[in-house]
Amino acid sequence: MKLRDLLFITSFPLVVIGPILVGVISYQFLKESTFEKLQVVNTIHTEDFVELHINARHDILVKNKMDGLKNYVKAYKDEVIVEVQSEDESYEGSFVIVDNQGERFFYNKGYFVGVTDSELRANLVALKQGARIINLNGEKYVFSKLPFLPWKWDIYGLYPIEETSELLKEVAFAVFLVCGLILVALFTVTSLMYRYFVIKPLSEISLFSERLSNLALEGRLRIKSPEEFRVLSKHLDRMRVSLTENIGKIEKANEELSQFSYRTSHDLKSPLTASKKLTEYILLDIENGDLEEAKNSVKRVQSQVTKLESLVDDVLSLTKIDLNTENEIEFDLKELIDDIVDKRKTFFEDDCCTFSVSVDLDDPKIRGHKIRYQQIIENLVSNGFKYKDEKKENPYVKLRAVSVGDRLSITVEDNGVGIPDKHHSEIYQMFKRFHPSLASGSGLGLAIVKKHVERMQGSIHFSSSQQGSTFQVDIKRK
Amino acid sequence: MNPISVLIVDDSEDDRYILTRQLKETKIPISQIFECSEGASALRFFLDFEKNVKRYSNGYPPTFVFLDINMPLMDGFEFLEEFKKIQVEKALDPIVIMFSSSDRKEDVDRATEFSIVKAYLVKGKYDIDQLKSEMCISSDDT
Repeated sequence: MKLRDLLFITSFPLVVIGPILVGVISYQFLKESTFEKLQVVNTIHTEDFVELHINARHDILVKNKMDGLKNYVKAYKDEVIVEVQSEDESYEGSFVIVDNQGERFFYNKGYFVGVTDSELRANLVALKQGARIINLNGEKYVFSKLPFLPWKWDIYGLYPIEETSELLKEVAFAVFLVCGLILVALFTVTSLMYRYFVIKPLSEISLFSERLSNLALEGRLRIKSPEEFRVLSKHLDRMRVSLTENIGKIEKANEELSQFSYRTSHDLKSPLTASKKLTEYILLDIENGDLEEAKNSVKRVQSQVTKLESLVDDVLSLTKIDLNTENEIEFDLKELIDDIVDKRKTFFEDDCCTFSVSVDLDDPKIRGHKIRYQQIIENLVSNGFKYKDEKKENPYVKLRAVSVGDRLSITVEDNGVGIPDKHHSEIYQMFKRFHPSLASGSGLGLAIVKKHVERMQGSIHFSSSQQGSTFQVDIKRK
Repeated sequence: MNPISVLIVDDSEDDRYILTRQLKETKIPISQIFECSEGASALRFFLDFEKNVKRYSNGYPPTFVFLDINMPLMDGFEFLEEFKKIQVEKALDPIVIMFSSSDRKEDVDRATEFSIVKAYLVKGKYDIDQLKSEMCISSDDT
């Protein structure tokens, strides 16, 4: 069932039955009021007749004191009867004189064609029972009864209803037509409005939804009125925008993942392939007694394996960041920094550079994931050392942790070789190294730092030139 | 065969060492083996044509170039693009053999699009005989 069908189902009865009802009701109403008007006119006419023809004569008799004289009364009566029985061109109706409660009837037989006394008598009976219409020979008459007691007469003025009835029917039909036309016009207008304000927006929305379901996300949906559809279309369009963004994100993430897989497997394979070949040469060299060469090759294998180890560690760190399900804990940031500094002293030879650390926190207790802070600081500091510039006089790496209010800033500054300008936009990308001759690393360090910072809703900024680099991480502390 | 010289362009010192030993195993008479650890210095090596001709009387410019793909800053393909630009000017016509751990079809196709690339070797997946025949075939073609 379509909406259009609904419109028809609700409108059709109205448009069809409405005019009919109105026609019928107006006909009845008009009939009734016409009936009453006819009654009134007929009564007036009958009263006039009685006054003029009967009362006047009776008054003359009374004046001349002749109203007791039967012959004079009869003479006058006969005159009236003659008048009643003659045509009256000016009036549609006619009179019936009922003498003495129905003993005799005097009427115009030319007018009341085919009417018998017995029929009249029957009508009188019906009148007594409350009928409002007189039926004579198939014709209907409205009546007005005036009794004239002195002559024992009941004078009935009769007026035919039929003619007016036809007129009424025509009027009612006209009303029906007009009403019908008005309703049809209204229906057309409603239909058009319905089409424009309901069907059209709905089909627009429908098309839009179809496009959306096929992920064809171009093409804005905009419906201005009615209000409900405007709101609906606004929400739907927002859905489209949101879908576009999210699909874009997903596609980008897939692309990144694909890239990552390729690079990772390549970087993993490389040291293994080399190590395998090198071990062949080690055996060969041992067999040939070339032990120096063999020893060198063993060292090469060691460095390859170490490289592989740190790559695997970094890849694991990077992937673990997304999977982190550990809860936040309260830990002491100053203690963490001290641990990192100690670790560096133990495992690395940092004689080349001065490492200065300054911690200025109003409250060293932090609520968060300790591993994040650890990896951020370790990676930034490690980079500072890796890319030192030995040509400079006093190579240094400075670590600073400052907290002001709810903002925590960690800064690592060095006067190393810096990052070439043209690569500034790439530094957080994975597997990027800009001074491969200086340090071998996975190229994942800054990617790891960036990811941690993003997960903590913090921010990271850097500045770098040939004078050195400075990295600053800002985090809102809880 | 005329004595030939080789340039190895690879960021991994160990890979350069391995290839060097392999080249020796082929017993092909190679007068010199040059090494560069990145694309930029390899380009430089070719650009300083006049200087290097005087410096290396024997074996410059190199007959063969073994080129790695995955190098930081300027990778193998970027090197080939840049090299195309200077090739005509310096009348250089080395035989480039691509040399990579990647065996992806896209990389192979992209490499062989360059007319100067005559072969593609996957690290760890070839033996000495293969190496030798690739070099002989390529030099016979020229």
